[in-house]
Amino acid sequence: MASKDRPLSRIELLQGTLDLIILQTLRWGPRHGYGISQLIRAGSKDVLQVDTGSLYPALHRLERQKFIAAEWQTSENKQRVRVYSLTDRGRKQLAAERSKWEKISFVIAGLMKALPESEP
Amino acid sequence: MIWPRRRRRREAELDEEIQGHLAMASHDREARGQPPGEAAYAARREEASAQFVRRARGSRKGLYRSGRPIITEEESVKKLRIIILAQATWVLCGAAFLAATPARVAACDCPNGHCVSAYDCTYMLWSYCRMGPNWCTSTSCDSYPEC
Repeated sequence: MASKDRPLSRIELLQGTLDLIILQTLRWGPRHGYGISQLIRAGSKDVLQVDTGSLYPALHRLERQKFIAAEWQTSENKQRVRVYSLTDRGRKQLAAERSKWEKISFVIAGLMKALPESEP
Repeated sequence: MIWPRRRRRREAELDEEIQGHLAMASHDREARGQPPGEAAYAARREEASAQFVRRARGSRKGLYRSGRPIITEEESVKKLRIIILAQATWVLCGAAFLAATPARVAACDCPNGHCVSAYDCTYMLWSYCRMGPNWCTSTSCDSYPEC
């Protein structure tokens, strides 16, 4: 378990979890890579920090799977940025992954509570 | 399968994307009061470099066993290109042969349509013409005095 002072590294963050987090972030609207990473960081109160080495491969993988769509745009700083948005397929995937995640976290939480009591 | 040209384009886009990412990270740090040089260095160190990302992406391509490559993407593309070229050569040769054969048979005016070469056709004509006028189905028989 990571403390609040140290952000979780990309190794600690499971690949499937990162995909879920990215899809969930894009649910609030289209964003470029840096925006996504900042939103994840801010949303997790600096606990999760996704570096470019994890973020961009994940974004490109999700784009290949057609869960997200990408489009080149010009930012406020007159910089060309690739903006990602959630597709209908991605929305369905997010719903499926989310319910799976909720089920798993519920089961694990149950196990964590049940195990000490069942011990002799 | 990603073709080399498309892969190069993707890599160039990824480079541009990451450069933009680092520029924004650096800009944010400068806005928070960090000196420009230090901000750029810190952003690059924290966010990792484009080279690292490309390596991370590249390491998943190809076939691997126990982390060691059996065949890399570049090798597989090269081998696939050779196979496609060989197959295409065979198909083209076959097509050329098939295209040429009926033309040759038609040119010699073969009587029964089963000749596969000019020699067969000439022999067949000669044989039919020798059997008599009723067997002669081609005007080419005129060239044979037996008809």
